[in-house]
Amino acid sequence: MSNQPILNRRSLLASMAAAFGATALPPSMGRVAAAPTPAPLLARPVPKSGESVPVIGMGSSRTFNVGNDQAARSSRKDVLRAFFDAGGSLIDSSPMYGSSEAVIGHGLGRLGRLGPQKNLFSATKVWTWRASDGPSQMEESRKLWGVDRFDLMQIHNLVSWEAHLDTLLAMKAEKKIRYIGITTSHGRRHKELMRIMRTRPIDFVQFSYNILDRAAERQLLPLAADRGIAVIVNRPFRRGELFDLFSRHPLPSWAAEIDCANWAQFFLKFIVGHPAVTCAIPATSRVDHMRENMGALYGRLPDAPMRARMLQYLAGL
Amino acid sequence: MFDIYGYSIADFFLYAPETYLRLLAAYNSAYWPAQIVTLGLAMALIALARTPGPAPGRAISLGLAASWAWAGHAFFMERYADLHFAAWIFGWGFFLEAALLLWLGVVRTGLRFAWGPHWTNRLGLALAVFAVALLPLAERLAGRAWSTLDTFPFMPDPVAVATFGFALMARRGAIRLWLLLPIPLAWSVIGAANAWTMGAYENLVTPAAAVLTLAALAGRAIASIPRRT
Ligand SMILES: NC(=O)c1ccc[n+]([C@@H]2O[C@H](COP(=O)([O-])OP(=O)(O)OC[C@H]3O[C@@H](n4cnc5c(N)ncnc54)[C@H](OP(=O)(O)O)[C@@H]3O)[C@@H](O)[C@H]2O)c1
Repeated sequence: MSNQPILNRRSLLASMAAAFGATALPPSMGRVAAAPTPAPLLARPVPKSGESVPVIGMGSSRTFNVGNDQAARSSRKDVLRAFFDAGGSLIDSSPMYGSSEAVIGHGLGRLGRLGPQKNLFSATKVWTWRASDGPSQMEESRKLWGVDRFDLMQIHNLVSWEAHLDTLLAMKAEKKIRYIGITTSHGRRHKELMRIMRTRPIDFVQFSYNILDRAAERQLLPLAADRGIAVIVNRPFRRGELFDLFSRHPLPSWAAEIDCANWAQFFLKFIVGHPAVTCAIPATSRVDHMRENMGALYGRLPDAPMRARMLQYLAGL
Repeated sequence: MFDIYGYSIADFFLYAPETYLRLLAAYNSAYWPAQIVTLGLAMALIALARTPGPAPGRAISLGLAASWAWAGHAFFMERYADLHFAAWIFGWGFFLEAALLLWLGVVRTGLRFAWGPHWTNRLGLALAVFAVALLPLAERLAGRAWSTLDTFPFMPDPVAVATFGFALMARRGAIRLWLLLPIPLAWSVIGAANAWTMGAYENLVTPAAAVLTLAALAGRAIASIPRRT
């Protein structure tokens, strides 16, 4: 089994503590910091910068689009808290997801997660057909989140990507964003995506990949590794369908060898076990599910033979 | 360019069914018990169609226009916009339908309605009654909570189905009638996609009503051809 703890929780907490003083940490973080042997947190570097990103982030389409429903907003804030408490950092959203950006911003504000050194890696998208509408949409997103600037701005589903890319390159040069990415979720766009990956200076790429939908293994993942592009994997649970298909079956006993205690961790570790993947962004509306998912941020990762064994097990179910 | 092939139906309704139902519950309870009053008003509009003539035609057109405008404003612009990026487009579509009804039915007084004598008129009557009185009951029977039912004129589905009903009750040969159909038809398709994604299969009655209306109107038009020649 490979074990690649590039960042560990102790160093993460130590740097946060240095910045704020241990007492400024949220209580749950303080508790973790006081634990005798903090578990190592799995992270991978963004190839273009070397910056470490925890291998499990979170998505927000559907799950965080709850409008102005105050009870639902409060419950999503609890989900965010569970995410950060477990060492999470990268949050992905889009103006396409209705109120999700506003709900994230609401939660971040309530949790005191806005501002520098708050261990937030903010990732959203630009999604307009007219490129001239892009800047105002991105500014609106920034206000909704409440961040000073986005860490990562992605072009959603390749929409008007050429014109948006020019805007994003200029924004990056002005340090208004730190990274540029492009997203898709459908096999149909892979050819075009690969053309962009080969020819344009992007830092991140986002596409779908999970234990059943593995088309990305053929060309996309190797190309990303080859070009030094960070990979964010969306739909890691195939929108939840993987649980419908497999969760009635028992986890194999050998799942413990890669520190998987449940199916969520099994599915996620399969994904982040691929060396070209930087992180997966499962979405959930529930605190208990968030805790399960974030469990995949710790322990051993499957190597190639173990990943083959995981596939074989599912094929036999 | 917008690439329709890159998207699936579910990509356009990015909220959980529970979230959608909670939105409906909050919306309905904000206006309760106005729904009882509007049920009475809607039944009165249907009753007006019993006596064909320009005055009832104008009153019905005005009532329908108000219903489209209300659903466009109160539902799409005020509530659904929280969840859906395109709610404002749907809202403007509903305003446009309201404007068409006002123009064709009130300003130009081109619309007259009747309960008969043609079978399509009676079918229209049944559809209109279904939209305002029976659709919420059908939803309740399908297991929806009282607070989440689609009521006329608060929700787009009953407004669209009632409009199909009145279209069928409209005087035969009213060419302008066809101008009133594209927007309700478009909503039937969008609403059906939403219902499908939400698993609210009872709401598939809206596209079914659309198909029925088109078939009945086409049947009526075809049946009238020999008489003209
Ligand atoms: N083109 C694009 O840019 C693009 C396209 C697709 C997705 N994305 C991004 O990727 C993110 C993830 O994709 P996704 O949301 O489509 O699907 P997903 O993460 O594969 O699945 C989400 C579903 O899994 C369920 N779930 C999560 N954790 C669970 C657990 N531990 N046990 C049981 N069920 C669990 C959730 O339900 P509960 O709420 O009940 O937990 C939810 O219904 C999106 O939110 C979005 O940010 C981007």
